[in-house]
Amino acid sequence: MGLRLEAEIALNSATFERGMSRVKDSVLGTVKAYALGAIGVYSLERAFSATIETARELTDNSKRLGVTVEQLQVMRKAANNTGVEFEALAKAMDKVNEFRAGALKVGGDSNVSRMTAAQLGVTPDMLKNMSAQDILFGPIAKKIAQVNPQEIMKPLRDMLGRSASEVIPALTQDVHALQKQMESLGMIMSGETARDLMQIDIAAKSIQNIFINALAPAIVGVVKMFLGLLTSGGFFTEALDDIIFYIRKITHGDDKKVYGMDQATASAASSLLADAVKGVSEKTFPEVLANLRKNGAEGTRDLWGADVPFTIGPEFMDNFKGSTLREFNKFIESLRLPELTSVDDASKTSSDLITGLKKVLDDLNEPVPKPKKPDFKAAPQETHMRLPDDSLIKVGNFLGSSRGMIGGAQARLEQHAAQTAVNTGLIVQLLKNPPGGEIGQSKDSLFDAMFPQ
Amino acid sequence: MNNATEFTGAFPEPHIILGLRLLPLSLGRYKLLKRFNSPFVSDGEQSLDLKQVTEELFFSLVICGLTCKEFADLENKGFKRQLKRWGRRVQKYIKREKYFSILEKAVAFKRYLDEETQIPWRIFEKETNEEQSPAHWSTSIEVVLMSKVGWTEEKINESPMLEALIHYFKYLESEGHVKLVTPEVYDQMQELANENGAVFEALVMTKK
Repeated sequence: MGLRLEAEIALNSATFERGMSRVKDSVLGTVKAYALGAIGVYSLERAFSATIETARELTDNSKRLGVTVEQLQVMRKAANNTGVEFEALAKAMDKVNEFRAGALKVGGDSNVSRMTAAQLGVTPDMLKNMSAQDILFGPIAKKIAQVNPQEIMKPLRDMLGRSASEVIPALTQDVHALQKQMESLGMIMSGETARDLMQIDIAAKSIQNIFINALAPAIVGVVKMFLGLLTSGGFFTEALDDIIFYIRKITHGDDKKVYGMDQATASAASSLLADAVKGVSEKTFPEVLANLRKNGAEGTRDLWGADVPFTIGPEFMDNFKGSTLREFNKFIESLRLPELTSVDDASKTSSDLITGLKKVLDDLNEPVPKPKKPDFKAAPQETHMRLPDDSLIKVGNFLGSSRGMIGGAQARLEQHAAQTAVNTGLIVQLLKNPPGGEIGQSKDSLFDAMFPQ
Repeated sequence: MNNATEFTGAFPEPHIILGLRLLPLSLGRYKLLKRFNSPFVSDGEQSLDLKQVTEELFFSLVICGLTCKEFADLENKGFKRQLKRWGRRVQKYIKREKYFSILEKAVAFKRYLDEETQIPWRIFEKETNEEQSPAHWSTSIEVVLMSKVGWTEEKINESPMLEALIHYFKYLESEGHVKLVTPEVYDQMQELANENGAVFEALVMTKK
C-alpha cells in the first residue's frame, strides 16, 4: 500500500503537489469519518441538539428572571456548589420581585414590607433600583453572613417565601468571585452564543418539519440504495444503521417496537423468516407455515459484533393473519424496516422537495470539514489573528491559542528580554552621562538584583 | 504548582470527559492531535460552528482515549465495537445530564490539555544569539529525548507530556543551555527588574 502510494506520487512529478494534497486529505478525511462513523451520527446529533436545548433553556429562564444569561449560569453554579435546587433559587427571585412590587406601592401593607426589608438590610432605594439577583446576593447575603440566619428567618420567609431556608447555603457563595473563576475557566456560555444557538434550533426544527411532512419521499430512494450495501459490512453498514436510527427518531421517536420486539431483533427475525421460506413455492408454503406455527424458528443476530442466538416462538406467528406466500413476504418486509412504510405514505413527487431533501441528507452525511489553512503571510501575528471563516457562531474564544506551556514560556521570555533591554538601555545612558555619586549606589543594586548570584 | 509536580507528572490524575477516561497527554497523542488539525492544539485562535466543535471534540477524545498503537489500529473490529458502545453510552450520559452543553465538555478538554502541560519551572535561555529552529517544538523535544536522554519511541508516544517536558528542560539545564527557576523566584526577579527600570527612568528624566 505504502509502495503503491509512493509510485503514484513519484510517477507524475507534475501532479506531485496535487497528489500529496490528495493523500493528506484522504488520510485526514478517512480516519476522522471512520472514527465519527463508528461513534455514531446519532450520538453526535444528540450532543449537538442537547447543547442547543440548554441554550434555549438559558435564554428563556434569563428572560423570565430578568437576569443575563451569564448571571444565570453563575447562579446555577452557586446553587449546584451548595446542593441547592436551582428551581428553589429561581422561585426565591420571583418572590423578591413580588415582594418588591408590594413594598413600593403606596398604602396597604407597604410599610410592613419596607420594615421587613430593612430587617434584611435592604433599603427602599435598593428595592427600587437593584435586580432581584443583586438584592439576594448583595444585602441579603451580607446580612446572612453577619448574623445567625435563624434570627432573620421570619423576614426572610416573608420576602423569599417558603423556600427561604432552602436557598440560604447558595446565598453564602461569593458570586462575583465565582463569576471570575468561571470566566477564567471559560465555563460561561455568552448570551450572544446562546441566542445564536437558539436561531439554529429554530432552523433545525423547521428542517425536521419539512423532513417529515414534505421531504420524506426522497429518503425512500436513498435508503433503498443503501440497502444494497447492507451485506457489504464495515462502515457503510454502520452509516446506514445511523441514518435509519435518525429517521426513526424524527418520524416515530426512539421507542418504536415491532410486535413487541426492538428494531434490531425485528430485522433479524425478518431475515430468519425470509431464509425459512427461501425457494418455497406457493404449493409447499402451507407446510412451511404450519411448521413455523408449530415450532417457531431459531437463528442468531449480531449484537456488538457477536452472534447472539435468538428464537422466534410459535406464538409470534399469530401476528401473521394471511395465508399465502405473497402475504407472508409482505409480512416479512413489514418487519424489516417498518418506519419506511410511513415514509412511503408521505410520498410526494415534487422535484424541488427531493432536491431539498438531498441537501438535508448531504448535511447529515457531510464529511469532516477540511482544516483551515493558516495565512503564512501574517505569521508573526498569528497568535493574535483570527483565521478566516464563515462560521455562524463564534465559539473560538475558549478554543483560542493553545500554545500552552511552551508558548507561555516563550512569551514570558520575550517579555523578560524586552524588560532587560529597556533597563540595559537606561544603564548605557547613565554610564555615558553619570549624574553623580548617587548613581554608583543604584548601579550596584541594579546589577545585584538583575543578575543574582 | 510546586516541585511535587515533577513526581505527579509521571502519574497525573485521570480525566474523564463524556464518560471516556483519557490517557495522559503524551507527545505521541499531541502529535496525533496536531496531525489531524485539532483546534484544541491550534497555534492560532479559531472560530468553529457548533457542529465542528462537536465533531472535533469527539475525535480528539478518541485520540486521547487510545494508545498511539491502538489508534494506528483503529480499523480493528474490536475498537470499532468499543467506539460504537461509547457512542451509545454518550447518548445515555447526555440524557441524564440536566443542562448538557458540548461547549462545557470542550472547555473541560482544553483544561485537560493545559493541566497536562504545566511545568513547575520558568525557563531562561542562556544563549539568545542562536537562530530559532523552524522545527516544531514537539519535534525538538522528541529528538533530544530520544538521542540524548535515551527515551524509546514507545515512551515518547505514551509517557505523560509533563514528564517529557521535565526531562527535556532538565537535560537542557544540565548542558547549560537554560536556567530553571521557580515561579516565586521568577516573580521576584520580574518585580526587581521593573522597580529598577522605573528608578532609572526617573533618573534619566531628572538628568534631562
